[in-house]
Amino acid sequence: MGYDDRAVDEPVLIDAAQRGDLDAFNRLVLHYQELAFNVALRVMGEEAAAADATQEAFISAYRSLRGYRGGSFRSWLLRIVTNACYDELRRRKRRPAVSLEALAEDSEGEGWIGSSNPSDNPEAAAQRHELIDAIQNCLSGLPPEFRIVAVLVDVQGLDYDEAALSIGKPLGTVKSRLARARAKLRDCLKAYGELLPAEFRLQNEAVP
Amino acid sequence: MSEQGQVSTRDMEQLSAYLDGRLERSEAARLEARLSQDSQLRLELQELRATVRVLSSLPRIRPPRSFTLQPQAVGRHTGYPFLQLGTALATLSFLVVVGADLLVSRGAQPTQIADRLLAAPAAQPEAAAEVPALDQSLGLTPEGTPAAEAVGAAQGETDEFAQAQAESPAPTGTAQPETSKYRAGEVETAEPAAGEPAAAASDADATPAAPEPGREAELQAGAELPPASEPQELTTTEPVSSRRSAFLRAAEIGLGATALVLGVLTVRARRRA
Repeated sequence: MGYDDRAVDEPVLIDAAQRGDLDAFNRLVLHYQELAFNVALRVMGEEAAAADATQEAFISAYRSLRGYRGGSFRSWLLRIVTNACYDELRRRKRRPAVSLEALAEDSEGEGWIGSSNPSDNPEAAAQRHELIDAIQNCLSGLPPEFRIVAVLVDVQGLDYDEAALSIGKPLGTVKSRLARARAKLRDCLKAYGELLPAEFRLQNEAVP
Repeated sequence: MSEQGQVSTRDMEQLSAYLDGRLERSEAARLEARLSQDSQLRLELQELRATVRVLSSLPRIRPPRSFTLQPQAVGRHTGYPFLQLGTALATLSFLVVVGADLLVSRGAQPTQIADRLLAAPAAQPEAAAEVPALDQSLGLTPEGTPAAEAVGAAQGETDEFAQAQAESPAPTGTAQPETSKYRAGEVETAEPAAGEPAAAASDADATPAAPEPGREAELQAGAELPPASEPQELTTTEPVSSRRSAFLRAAEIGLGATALVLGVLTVRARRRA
């Protein structure tokens, strides 16, 4: 669409967007939508819900843009995204019709970014798919507040400080939630034994 | 709370932070010393490390669509913030009026019967029993001369009075025009409308308004109170408090209903949003 994210300073865009310039805001959206959507996807567990949450997040970000007072815009935005996820989770809990269908559809429809996973070998691709489903299942089994921290730090690679800003909680909370989440995820992933990468299994079998 | 029965939560937190290089140097050294001797702890660390690696292997997914905002999507307010504000204002006004009513009625209890006899005399006995009758007589006063004729006006114009009553079975009548306005979605009018009765209540003595024909009483009730009640004080002081409390009661019901309706609309807007 002719947008070039790097051509313009982020603060300049934010400033313009705060003064009501929707174009400027949309350039920020284009820059952050992949991150926002991926966070939402891993928290929500399925694409349609993640897309809804992401859209809601950007709408509410635009509306509350005046409330942004400097600092990391990414964290500010992620906080809105995680809140939108909480809202969406609550809404879906009320009408849980979304179901397995959507999940199945979703995992088939995943378009990967990057070419680090060449899927020329169908068998390997299928296995990789199963692993992804397994990880997502385990994530979805966590209570939302643990899940969000695991997604931010372990899936998205945020550091503790940014994760703390993104969930609006102190650093200590991030640390303890992350530890709990990892322990639970490890227990859950063990059930998927043979899907896991070799090093995981080896360690597992090495138990005396 | 040990996840496996072997390692404590505290150890788990330490291992987790250690993995990310977030332990103090002294703590890290202590942990490393333990790791070198405790194979169980070592295993735990390895499993955690593998878990993190597995998680980070999740692929990034390309968003299914662009999330840029369209001008109309942003312009189209759900009205939620306005509804929220309106609900808050209506509720606040309601509480204020209830408080005021308590104060007034505590002071006026014994004189109420006398008021009613004076203001809405025997011509309409059942009307005398109804609180809004007092409002109604206020609405009528401007047609005569303001002062002592107020009572006479109420007596004389029973036709109009009955008609007015038929039109507006107050006190709920006061609520109706407001709530229907909100239903129509004129959210912007919510604030002033909700604030109006409260302002009228608190400024009752201070803001005389242009007298209106009696039958447009409902919403003007607050505004018309002053011109009518001030002259009344010449003859007797009791009706003032009684009328005030009658007005307050009507305002209470109106505001209560408004707050309720707005609250429901707010919840619905929130759900839709």
